[in-house]
Amino acid sequence: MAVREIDCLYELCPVPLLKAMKELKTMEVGDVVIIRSDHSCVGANIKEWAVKNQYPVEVVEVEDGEWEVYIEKTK
Amino acid sequence: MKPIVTWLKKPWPYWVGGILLGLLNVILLAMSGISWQITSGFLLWGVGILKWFGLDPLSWEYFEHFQHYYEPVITKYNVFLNQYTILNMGVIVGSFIATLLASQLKWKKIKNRRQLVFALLGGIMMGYGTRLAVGCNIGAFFSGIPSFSLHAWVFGLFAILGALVGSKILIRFLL
Amino acid sequence: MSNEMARLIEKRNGAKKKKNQIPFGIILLILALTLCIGFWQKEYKLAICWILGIGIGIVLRYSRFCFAAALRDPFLVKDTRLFRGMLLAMMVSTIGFAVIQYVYIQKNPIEYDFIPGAVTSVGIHVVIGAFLFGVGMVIAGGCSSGVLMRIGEGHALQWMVLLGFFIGTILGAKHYGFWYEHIIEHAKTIYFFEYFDFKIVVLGQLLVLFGLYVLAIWYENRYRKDM
Repeated sequence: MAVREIDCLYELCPVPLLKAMKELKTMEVGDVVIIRSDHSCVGANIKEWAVKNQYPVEVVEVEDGEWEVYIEKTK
Repeated sequence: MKPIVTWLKKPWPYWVGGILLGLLNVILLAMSGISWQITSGFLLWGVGILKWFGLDPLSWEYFEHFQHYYEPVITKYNVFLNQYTILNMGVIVGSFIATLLASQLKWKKIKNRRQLVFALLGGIMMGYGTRLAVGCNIGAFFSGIPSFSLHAWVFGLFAILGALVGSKILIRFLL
Repeated sequence: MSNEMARLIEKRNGAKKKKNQIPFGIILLILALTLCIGFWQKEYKLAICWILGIGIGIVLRYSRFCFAAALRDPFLVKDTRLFRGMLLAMMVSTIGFAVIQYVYIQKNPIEYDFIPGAVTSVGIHVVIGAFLFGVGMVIAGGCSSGVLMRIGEGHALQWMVLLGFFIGTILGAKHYGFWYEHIIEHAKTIYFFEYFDFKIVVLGQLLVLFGLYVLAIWYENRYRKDM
């Protein structure tokens, strides 16, 4: 399992989601991408997209106002 | 204590936010006589700043056309503190309070020069657009649709078209 | 979620300490309410604007409401939740505004500038202005309400957007004479109550908004899966 990280600190919507979509396309099945962001909308925004597309997803608040979104590529 | 903290952190669904915003807009109109608007406050602040530099923007033709609108504000209050600017400051403070209650305040820097240039450019385009269309997403569209004026529907349609073009630019330059 | 992902999350987020900012939030809320009393003594209108502004700010931030995303995401990422939230808000305020305007029109003549709400002329100027606004809000990452909300959240970038806003509105106001002479002077204001019966307008508008809502659900189900 490979782990990739995208640094989206200080980025605004919809850049983090678009970057995650782009990254997922190049990944192998079973890999995990971590999106690091401090934009409060990102959690809801990316999570909903991943759920709709049936990717396992988890949003963790790592610090005050900073989140990591984990998405696993399953298909 | 723990349940309250998690409860304060939890985001609300969009439909709850939507219904509450609709209600707040009605209450605002009923109680103060103005519907929710933002950019008239920005303009008044801009006028105030220009006045510091010794200019007299209030003599521009624009303010003749909107005399009924700005004159009571300027004669009764001042350009920095009036109902429109106080409404804007309230929104900032409200968002600040909500962020603190969720313990999510963090100072977010500007990432790079490109982001800065696009932000400034986007701001100027939006500002200029609001003077032509007499309002922004909020003043012309969100408050305009319930006011039964056709311009709001036209605004919504072309703002969506603009957003489509803007998305293309964003994907090309900011991704 | 696979076990591997759970382990990864656990490994990366061992024991980090977070600060509690809630007391500051409560203090600020109390200060804001005190200021509200101050405004009230000066004039009640200012107090109303202040307290409802704070309410709007809290709702915007807690529901992550963003009008730029509402108009952008249906096409960019096929997500219509915010768009539908906005339609709901409009349905609620349609009913409220209708009552307020009805009461007003019974007592006063129809004069567009003084009808409660936002009634103004429609024409090419609105088309140009809205288009510019649409492009701007996407590349700046938020419209005017988003700018205010994100300044409150601590985004430095949005101060730049606000500066841009000042420059733009001032330029727009300065050039207004030009636009007025060529376009706006000939533009007509179309206010639905002048053309149709009160009940028909309100019901019709609610139906249109509801129709858009249903259409948005259909669109999302149809296209979302393919992304």
